[in-house]
Amino acid sequence: MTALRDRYLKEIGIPVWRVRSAPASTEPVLEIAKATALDGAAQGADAWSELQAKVRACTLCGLHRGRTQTVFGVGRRDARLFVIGEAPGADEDRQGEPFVGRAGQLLNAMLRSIGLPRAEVYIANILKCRPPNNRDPEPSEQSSCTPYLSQQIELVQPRVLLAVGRIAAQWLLQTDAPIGRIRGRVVSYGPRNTPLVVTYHPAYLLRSPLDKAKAWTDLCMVKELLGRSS
Amino acid sequence: MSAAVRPRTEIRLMQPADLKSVAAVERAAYQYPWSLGIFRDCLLAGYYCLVLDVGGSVTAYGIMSVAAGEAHLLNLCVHPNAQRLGYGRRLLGALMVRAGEVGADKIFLEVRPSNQVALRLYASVGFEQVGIRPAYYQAENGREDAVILAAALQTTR
Repeated sequence: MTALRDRYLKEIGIPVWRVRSAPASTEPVLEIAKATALDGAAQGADAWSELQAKVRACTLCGLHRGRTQTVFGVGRRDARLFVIGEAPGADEDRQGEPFVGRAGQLLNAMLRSIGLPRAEVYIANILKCRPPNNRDPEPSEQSSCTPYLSQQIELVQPRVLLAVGRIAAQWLLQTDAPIGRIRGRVVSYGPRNTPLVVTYHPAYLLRSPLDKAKAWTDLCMVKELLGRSS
Repeated sequence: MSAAVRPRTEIRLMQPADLKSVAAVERAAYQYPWSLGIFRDCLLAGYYCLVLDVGGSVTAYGIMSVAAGEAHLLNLCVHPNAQRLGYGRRLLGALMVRAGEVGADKIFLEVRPSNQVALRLYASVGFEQVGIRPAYYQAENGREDAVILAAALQTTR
């Protein structure tokens, strides 16, 4: 029946789309990720736990008063892709993990679309604490918090950086240019000339789904860069 | 652990150690690039050479000579992948301030009339056309004129 239908569709020129792989069920992948992280991370483990303790106890800016907990970051410590977001929202603040709400689900789908399960990458935000009412981070909050992120990037030493959203992109590139002008290019970044790709924040894409096409071209650049560096 | 990712931009004097990165940006940006040797000569000649470093990598640079109260901007270049982010404007500002500090009251430059982005930048900071150098540049089909632009500087000396 399906074969016959496929033949009809083929005859009238309609491409048949199929789900490439079953979504969800990330549990086994997480197990593998944990195992590899344990193998390779022995030497960096001290630096990581030290940094984690520092972040957990941080009171450098006023945001610590309103937090349920800090949101340090998550993923493989030897990840090839480092995703940089903005700041925790309500869901993230509650769960202590970046990108767990609806935007997080879209980010996962974006990563999966280029063959990367969430557990394969490292994800962290510019700010480790939630700004009240999800307002933009203040420059002073950014400057006191971002050294933590710099150290995370330094420890992971990713092959490719992906900044999602205006705040992360403007911070990395120290520019006032709007996100629409910053995205769509590869900038070689930092002392190791790590390729940096900028794209829209998934929370923005939920509001403006038409820009998903542009985000897709950005993600394809990430995929190509990762393929080149392996 | 070498230098950590430093997300800040810094404008600083070009060092001999920057020459390779500078020449790489030049090759990425221009169809007829200067050689590394030319940049080395600029350093040796004592031209005022600045680089703009973004997060630890050289992303843009500018080269200017100042003599007899006049500054001449010889090269201002931003890596093509980092254009339209405001770096060229920042670098140009730093060069113009410096030219004023060392006693120049005018700054000149040549630019291709086809380089619309550059022309807009220069016009926005007060440059005006003062002449044309015919067939000044190498171009794909023959030669291209150079537009000569000039701007008055605030002398702070």
